[in-house]
Order: sequence, then C-alpha cells, then structure tokens
Amino acid sequence: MTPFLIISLFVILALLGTPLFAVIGALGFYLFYLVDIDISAVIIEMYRIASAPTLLAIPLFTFAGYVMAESNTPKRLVRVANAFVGWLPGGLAIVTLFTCAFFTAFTGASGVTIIAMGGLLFPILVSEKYSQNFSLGLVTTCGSLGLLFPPSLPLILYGLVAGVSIDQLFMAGIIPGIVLIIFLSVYAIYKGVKFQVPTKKFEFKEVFLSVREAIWEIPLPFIILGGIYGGIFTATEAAAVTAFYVLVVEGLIYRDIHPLKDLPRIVKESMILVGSILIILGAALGLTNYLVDEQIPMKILDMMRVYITSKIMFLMVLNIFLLIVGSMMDIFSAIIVVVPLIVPVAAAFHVDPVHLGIIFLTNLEIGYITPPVGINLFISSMRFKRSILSLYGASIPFLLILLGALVLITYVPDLSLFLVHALGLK
Amino acid sequence: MILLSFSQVLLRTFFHGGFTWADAMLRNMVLWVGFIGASLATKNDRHIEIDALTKFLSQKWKAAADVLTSTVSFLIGLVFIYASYHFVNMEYQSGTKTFLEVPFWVVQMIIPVGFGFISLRFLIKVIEDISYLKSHFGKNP
Repeated sequence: MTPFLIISLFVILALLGTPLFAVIGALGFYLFYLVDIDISAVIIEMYRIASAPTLLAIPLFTFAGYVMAESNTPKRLVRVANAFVGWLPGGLAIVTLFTCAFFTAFTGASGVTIIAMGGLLFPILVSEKYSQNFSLGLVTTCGSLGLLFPPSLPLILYGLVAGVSIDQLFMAGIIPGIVLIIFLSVYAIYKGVKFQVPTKKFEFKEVFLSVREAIWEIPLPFIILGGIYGGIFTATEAAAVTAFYVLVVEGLIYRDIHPLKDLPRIVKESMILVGSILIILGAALGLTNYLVDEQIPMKILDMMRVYITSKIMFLMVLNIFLLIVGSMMDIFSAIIVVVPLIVPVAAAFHVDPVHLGIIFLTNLEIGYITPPVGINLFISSMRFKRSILSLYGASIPFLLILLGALVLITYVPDLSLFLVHALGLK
Repeated sequence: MILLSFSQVLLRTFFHGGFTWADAMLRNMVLWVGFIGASLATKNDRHIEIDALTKFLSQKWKAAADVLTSTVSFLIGLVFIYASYHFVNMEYQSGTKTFLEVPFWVVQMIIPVGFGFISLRFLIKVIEDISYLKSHFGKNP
C-alpha cells in the first residue's frame, strides 16, 4: 500500500506544477531503491541516451526552427502561400493552415507557431471579415498542425523512444498530415463563402515576385527529404545541413538575424528547449527500464486482454486514452513517458509501430486543443488576451473536424504506411 | 553566452570535419548542451510541467503550491547530485577513456555539476517563492 501512496503523492506534485523531470526522476530513484538497485542506474541511463547518435538531430533542428521563427520567414511564407491559394474562397484561412503546418514541422513546439504565425495572421484574418471566433479557433488549431511533417521534433523523438526508423516515420507522416490540412481547408472554404470574404485575383506576377523573395527558403523541405531519401545523408546529418543552411540564409543572405544581437538569444532559447526535453528523456529512461524489467507493459496487456478482444477495440481505447494524455501533458513528455509502455502492447494487437507513431502524434496534436487543459488554448488565451472560455468555444468546430480525420488515420493504416511501402523503406 | 554559441558552431563545423573522434565529441557535446540548457530552463522557469491543477487555484494557493514544488524539486535535485556523483566516481575508478584520450569522467562531470546548478536555482526559487507568498498574502498562507 505504501508504494501506491507515494506514487499518488508524486502524481499530485506533478499536477501542482513540479517540473516533470524531477517527478519522474524521483519516481525512478524510489522504485530502484525499492528493488535494491543502486540509484546511479538512473544516471547511467541518462548518460546512455545522451550519447545516442540520433539525439544530435534534436538540438540542430530546434536551432534551425528558432532561427526561422526570429527572422522574417513567416512573412515571406505567408506571401508565397497567399499568391498561390489566395484566390480561393477562404483563401487566407488556407494560407494560415499551410504556413503554420510548414512552420510547426520545423519548430516542433506549438507555442512558437501560435506566437510567431498566429500573431502575424490573426489581425489580418479579422480584418478580412472572418469572425473573431473562427480566426481564434483557426490560429489555435494551427499551433500544432504540421507535427506529422518531417522534420518535426516529436517524430524524431518518437522514433528514438520507440526504436522505429526515423526515415520511415518521416515518410509515414506526410499523407496523414495532408489529410488533416485538407479536412480543415474544406471547412475554411465553407466559412469563407459564408462570411463572404472578398476573394483576390490570381496573379502570375505576384506568384513570381513572392517566390523570388523566398527563393532561399522554399527549397528547404526538398533538401531535407531529397537528401534523406536520395540516400545522401542520414536524418541526423540532414539536421546539421539544415541548421547550417538556415543560419547562412537568414544570417548572410536575408540578414534577418544579427550574429551578435540575435544569435546568442536564439542559441539560448533553443538550448532551453533541448535541455528541458533531454533531462526528462534521461530521467524517464531509468523509470522505463524499471517498468520493462518488471514487465509492467505485459501486465497491462494481460489486464486489457480481459476486456479488449480486437484490434479495432484496442485502437478505440487507445485514441481515447491518448486524447486525455494529450490534453494533460506536453507532447515531448507524453512521448517519453507513454510510448515505451504502449509499443509492446500495441505490437500484441498487431498495430504497426510506424502507424502507431502517427496515431500517437495525431492524438497528441488534437489533445493540444482539447478542453479543459489543452496547452494551445492557454497559449492563445495569453497571446490574444481572450478568456479561456471563449477559446473553448472557438476551438470546438476544429476539434470535431480533427477527430473525424483522426478516425480516418487510425482505421486506415495505409494512409500512413503506403508511402513507406511504396518507397521500400526498411 | 558566447561560449555557448561557439559550441553550437563547433557542432556543425566538426560535423563536416570527418575526424573519427568528432562523433564521440559531438555526442558528448549534446550532453553538455542539454545540461546547460536544463539549468537555463530552471533559471527561466521553463521546465516542462503538467500543472493542470494550478490553473484552477486561486492566486494565494498557487503561490503556496509554488513554494511546495520548488522545495520538492530542490530536494530531488540533491538526490540527483548524489546519484550522478556516484556514477562519475565509478567511471573515475575504472579510468576508461573516450575521444582524444580524455577520460570519461571529465565529460561526465557535467552531470553532477549541471544538477548542482539546477538545485541551486531551485533553492533560489524556494526563497523567492516564500518571500512572494509573504509579501502578497500576509504571514500565514
């Protein structure tokens, strides 16, 4: 009974806002202590993960993402997207979807997108006669759109924790990511017609001018994907190339980033993000190892077998569980804590680990905007100075649409796996 | 700060260098970057937390919760220092070496040192939180 009490105590401490690494680490220490293993085992795990070769991709991509967030990349991207799809009804809303997705794929953290892109787009949306509510819901939802596109950090982290190839995950996310965008775009077009937002004419000149302005940033996704799948470099090397490329482009070509005024702050910001992820990752691995040693996933599985008999049922329960997790926890810690427990269970129900990764991330992405505690809701509420209740209301239509897309992604594995198989990735 | 940015640049430069020791060095640099970042996160109150409950607490109880969580984090930080010191000590005894003949324990020193800084930050936070609580909500919270 005592261990149970102590674990509940830790949970309460976590809910009160104790940093998660401390809670997880302490839990690890306590459990190792219970079974008489030297507690430096936790540190050994920490060191082991910190020296995993793939890990290097995380600080490098984070850095690249922050550099772009601080530069004028958002403005240039919006201009390009506007030139291409601005003529559609609901064009600007679709522009928001596209650019936010691109942006989140690089920054991985939803807060950055809402603050950088949302701050830029929200006033324009409102001035173009989209309703306050719709605009608010849109930018809040967009904060996490794009998590499924390479090279998003959560994808890399999932691959790392679940032991799945990152090359495969990058490919698997593309179609489901596009599905999410299409679903939301249809809604945006519907709203655009309803609000009678004036549409713009399609102009080749503007397309040409905007593309020329962003000519250095547009090739980036192709460099990453082409490099990885053309067999030129690994995901980690792609991260190094991206970081270097972005630094040169934003620092030397566009001169948006001042090497002395801006760079130290960006380095610091990205180090903070990396540090806060790494320390949880390290602390959690000790705990995970304990859980696996004690065969906890197998016990969960046995328990579930009593009630859950089919793959479909398992996926349903998984979705509900993950939505709750996603609304409570930050995506990085959710991946680190929950993935090791779920992967073996899912394997027993014949769910492909790559597909599982996509389901996992889609759920967490939606969890970000799920009331009462989805993180994006709070970020938006602070950024746009609206009450949290008005955000609940604004986000609900989007939530329902995304849930529809989630069902599709969950029960049609081929959406995720088609490209992986088509390219014959191992 | 300049030192930190320099290390970031190193990360990239050495990547293209292709020395055999660069790989091991890069991996250890991630460790260093991680720990320095984690202490910065503590300083700026940017650690990943769930804190689902505090959003529904009143200002006063939230301040009290902050005192509690900072204290707990500080204490756990001490345990981390102890455990990591133990770990580095073991490496020191065994005397193994990593890239360029640098002994393992030297690079790993960042773990206890990093936790040292983190704990120190939490201690400062405890004091700040208590004084905030006192100044805003009287002597008996």
